[in-house]
Amino acid sequence: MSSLSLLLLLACASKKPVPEAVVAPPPDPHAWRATQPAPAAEEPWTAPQASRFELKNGIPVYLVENPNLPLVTVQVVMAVGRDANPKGKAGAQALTASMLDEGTRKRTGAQLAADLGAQGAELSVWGGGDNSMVVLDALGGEALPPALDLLTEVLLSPRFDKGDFARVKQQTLDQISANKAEPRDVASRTFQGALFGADHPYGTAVIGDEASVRSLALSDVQALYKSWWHAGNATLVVSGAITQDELKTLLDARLGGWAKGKASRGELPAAPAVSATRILFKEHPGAVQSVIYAGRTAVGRTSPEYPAANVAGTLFGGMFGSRLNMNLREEKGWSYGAFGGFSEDRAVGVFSARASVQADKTAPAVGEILKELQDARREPTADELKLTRDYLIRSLPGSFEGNRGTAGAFALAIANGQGPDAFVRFAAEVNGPDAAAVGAAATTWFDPAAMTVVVVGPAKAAGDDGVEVDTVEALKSLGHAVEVL
Amino acid sequence: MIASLLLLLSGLALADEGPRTLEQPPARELSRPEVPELPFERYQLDNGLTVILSQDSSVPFVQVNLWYGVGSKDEVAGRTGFAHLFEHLMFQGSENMNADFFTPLQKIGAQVNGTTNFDRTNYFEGVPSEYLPLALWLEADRMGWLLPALTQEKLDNQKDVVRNERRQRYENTPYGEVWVWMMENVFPPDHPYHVPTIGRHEDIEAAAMEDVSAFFKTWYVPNNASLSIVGDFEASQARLLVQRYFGDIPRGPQPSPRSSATLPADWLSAEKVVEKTDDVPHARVWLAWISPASLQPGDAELDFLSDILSSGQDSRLYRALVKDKQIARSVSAYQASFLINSVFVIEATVADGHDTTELVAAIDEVLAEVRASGPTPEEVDVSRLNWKVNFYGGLQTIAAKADLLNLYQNRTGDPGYLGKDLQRYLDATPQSIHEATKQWLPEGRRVVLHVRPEGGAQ
Repeated sequence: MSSLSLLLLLACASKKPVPEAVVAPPPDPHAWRATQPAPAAEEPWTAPQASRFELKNGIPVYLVENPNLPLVTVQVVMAVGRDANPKGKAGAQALTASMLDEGTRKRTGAQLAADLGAQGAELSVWGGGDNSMVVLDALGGEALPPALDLLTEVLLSPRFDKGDFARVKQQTLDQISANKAEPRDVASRTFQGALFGADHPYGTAVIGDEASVRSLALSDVQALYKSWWHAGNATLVVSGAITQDELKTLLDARLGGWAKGKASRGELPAAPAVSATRILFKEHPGAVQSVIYAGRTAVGRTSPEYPAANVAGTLFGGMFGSRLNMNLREEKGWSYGAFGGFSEDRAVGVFSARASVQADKTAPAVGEILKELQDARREPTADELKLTRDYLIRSLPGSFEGNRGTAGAFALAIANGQGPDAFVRFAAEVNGPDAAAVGAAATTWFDPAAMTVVVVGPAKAAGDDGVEVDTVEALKSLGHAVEVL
Repeated sequence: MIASLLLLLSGLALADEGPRTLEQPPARELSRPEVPELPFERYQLDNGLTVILSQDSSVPFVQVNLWYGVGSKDEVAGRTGFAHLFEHLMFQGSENMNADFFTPLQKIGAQVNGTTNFDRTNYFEGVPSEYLPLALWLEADRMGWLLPALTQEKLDNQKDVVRNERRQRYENTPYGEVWVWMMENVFPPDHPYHVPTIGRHEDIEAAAMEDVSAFFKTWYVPNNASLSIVGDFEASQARLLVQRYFGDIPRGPQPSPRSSATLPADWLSAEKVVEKTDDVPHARVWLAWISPASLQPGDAELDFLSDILSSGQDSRLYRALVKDKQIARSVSAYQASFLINSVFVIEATVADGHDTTELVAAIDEVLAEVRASGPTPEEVDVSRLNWKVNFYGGLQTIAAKADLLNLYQNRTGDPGYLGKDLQRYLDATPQSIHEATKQWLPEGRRVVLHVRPEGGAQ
């Protein structure tokens, strides 16, 4: 019996005097439910390992065999990121990637799409921050070789048609202008720009900005492709219904002759230092919420400092039950969700805390985020540390379901420099830093006096009591410099 | 498909086609078993809870997936958004776990969530196999003993959270309210799909504890739920656990979720044009027709049609609007399938210097061609292969399999409906797709929704 219905029973019973024996509750048949069931014996999980081989020209290939369904995913990781953009040509790398599925020397874009479709295959190409990716989802068996032929053409002999280029460039410009109407995108771009500045490759969105993309010509794309898209920058990850011998034969025949080139990525410049917290406000007229990004530049994924920072960041904002979300969502009800943590970029990472909050609570929410940051600058308790480690380690296995998930997980680890054995090392990496190390990382990275805060929202908002809130004035009352962009 | 596309090209564009001598490997048939396998066993507890078990030992996890036969279609007047608000409350703790539902789950890395749509509400946890008892204990506790832990404070907090969800996902997102505008025009006011699942602010705000209690007692009974468990477990063990945790939850009065709605005979007898201005970057237009319900005759045919119209660069609308005329930035078509009625949608975004009325005219030209001659056999074969591959793709995770078993159970009463579902795609022909196009996408009987940026231009 539930405690509430028991109370009701007692309340009813108290109306007239009854013998005590009748009031006493019967034994609760559900009392056993109060005990949380213990797990059965833990089944050890071993991270999937990819077998590795090289093609004739040295391209490394990682294969995770998955015979369950007749499907194969081939993900090509190209070490071609934003740092491949010539000066002033942000977006060139992404536009180059976008041009690859616009046809090959043998086929127009429409023919390529039709021929992929006839094999039951799908191809996606995109430019990411640190890498460019080409993914082929194909049927296994006899459908695979013709699909790989198409992938090979895409990689080795893109069409680069002038008309296609004009259209794809226009689509990119359209996307840039569409992004300006999306408050979360505006906030993310403004934040990234404020942290890195215009001269750093990470300071501009991957697709570039309006001026840089307008300046791009087909020759820029062709030149970038020619110098950067070579075998020396390629790594392949394959997951699916195929054996290593079959795969090696198929790939050697197609990509084994791809030549190596010279261009390769180097060190990225350091990010500018920040000495005081500043709040950057960008008005988004008519918005019913404000988007908040608070954070700073931090460490890259492969830095020895990353593991401690990651544990601290996950405890702060990576879980549903993290303080940040509990505060802004489950206590205040100001937001649908608030999250934070460290990015997994290759070279210079970012720490950020993010939330969309109802417009009249903008400044109080920024205040709460800074307060939570300050409160988090300490050693975690033993329970907190255990919870966070368990969360991180036990969430990992879920990444490896399906060919897309498996190939994507390995591709990310290769892309950000961790390498394909990242998952085998992961538990040790997470368990490595002790409470003192995690506390030291939190103290370093969560300093509320060195945060860059970006707010994108309306200048005025109606408050609970009908009184209009002036967002900028309210932000100023937090005691930090406020710049209106 | 190539041949039919050539007919659509102007003479000049032909010069841009690649050499026609290119070897064309034959279009592919799936070489492995024609029907993907999703074995299961099903039984019912005495209290009416349907249980579906499917073992898959390829991963050391188990998915617990619970569907309740209630969605926003079943809400009462003045309480739009309530089914979804209620779903949030299911994560606020129950009598024996009176804390955030995530508390015992995040430390084991579980994938946890719940979703609500027009037709149903689902809850799911993916946990390491040894935690199956924990997941069942949690789900059973909130199925049986949610109300004792519920407080006015929790309700008020989640009303705020849900209203902020609405702000974030609908109002503070370009085109975010289109689904709201579309449904209120496509379906009449008394139709269960007239208001989208997120509901209206004032109705969410009005929700009271009595509503929560009544809703729980009406809909959240074991005889209105199905539990699927997929992954690495022992069937005999799972049966014992399910009986232990769910067996003594009392059966409730049998609820009757809505399964039909009557449309007035003259509903959408003429084209209904709706014009909106909003904070959007580019003008966009939506065409929407009421179409056959999920799994009903014509539903699969309209899936084919959506491929033929807008899947890939060689699709008819993409070629006509984006590549050839260059009047649209993007175009897509889809059959949004639901239990009572579906909606077939075509949406297109204008290119600079053009207007949505031009897009509608160009779309209508393409539709007129399909209505006149139907799709080509080649188009249908490619789309069929795509749908067959999708069936395999949909079985790649135990989470997807668990949800699919419950979908089939909920819609057809048969968790093993997969083969029949696929058969619809194997059986479709150019003729049946042609017929469905003429029947369900006639001229006129549709909603045309134009959304243009504030301030006029475009």
